[in-house]
Amino acid sequence: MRYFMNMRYRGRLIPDYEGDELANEEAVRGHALATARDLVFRTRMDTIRSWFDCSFEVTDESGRVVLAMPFDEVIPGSAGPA
Amino acid sequence: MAHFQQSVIRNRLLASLSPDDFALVQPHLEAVTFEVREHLFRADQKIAHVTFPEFGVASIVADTGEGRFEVGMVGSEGLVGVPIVLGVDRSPHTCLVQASGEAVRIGAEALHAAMDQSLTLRALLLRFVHTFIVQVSQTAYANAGYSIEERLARWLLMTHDRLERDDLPITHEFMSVMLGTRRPGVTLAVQMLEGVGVIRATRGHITVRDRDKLEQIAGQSYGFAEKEYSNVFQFPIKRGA
Repeated sequence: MRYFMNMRYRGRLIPDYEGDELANEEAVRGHALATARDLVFRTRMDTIRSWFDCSFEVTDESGRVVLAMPFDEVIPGSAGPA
Repeated sequence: MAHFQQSVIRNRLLASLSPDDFALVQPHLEAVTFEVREHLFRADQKIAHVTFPEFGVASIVADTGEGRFEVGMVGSEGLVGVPIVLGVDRSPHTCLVQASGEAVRIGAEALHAAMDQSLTLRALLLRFVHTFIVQVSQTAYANAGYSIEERLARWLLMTHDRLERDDLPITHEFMSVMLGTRRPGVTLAVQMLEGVGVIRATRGHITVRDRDKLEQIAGQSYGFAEKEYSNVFQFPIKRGA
């Protein structure tokens, strides 16, 4: 299955048209976490003042949202969506 | 072997050889085409040829197991197979075609024999190796100090220099491998560059609209290696220069 890693940043939705091939919906969360972790800790962008203002809105091929995940979930002990 | 006349060769290195040096390599040249994502050589496997692109772009890629990223880019300004020129027949890096094209290649042994016969041929190939080292060093500098947007601007300029069109056939996934970052980072950077009008992005394509502004965004991450190439070879690598 192909899952699209759309991002929301300060209210704007940045669509992902390419997507990633993942085994199933259970794999989506791990992939989103690993991707967010990489962006938060390793990626410097001028466009993004704080990665913690970002969240993933992952959709499947039909356009259904299968996961909404704020980037602060990469911090261990984070309670998830506030 | 009349089909390889130096006057119709587009590769800048082969085209700039003296007639005598070209005559040394000419009988061993072979025309090849390469397709996107094809490997010109693979990590730790014997490199059989030195390839001189006529059109198209190849990337030298490091694959660390944790991720892949581009360490060098070659088009018609150079050659693929720097290890062979330096007398080493394999590399920990992989060479992947970034934009399909045509090339002329020569077997490693034939090239070594020609280099043994001609000091001027050897010197020219080593001058390219020098410019390639400068390019790779500038990539290291860009990776250490620049944002994804700046690095993407630099990478697009380097690709633009090596393709003879403004429309670059590249996916975000491919750019993410080239920049060693996650695809969403590339998607954001593409959005930013499009937002300020320097590129137009459609699925699988980037069109360069404002090269000057792209150079401004890339800042000091771009231009240093390109200037060195022009200084060494007395012809530009940079488009429009």
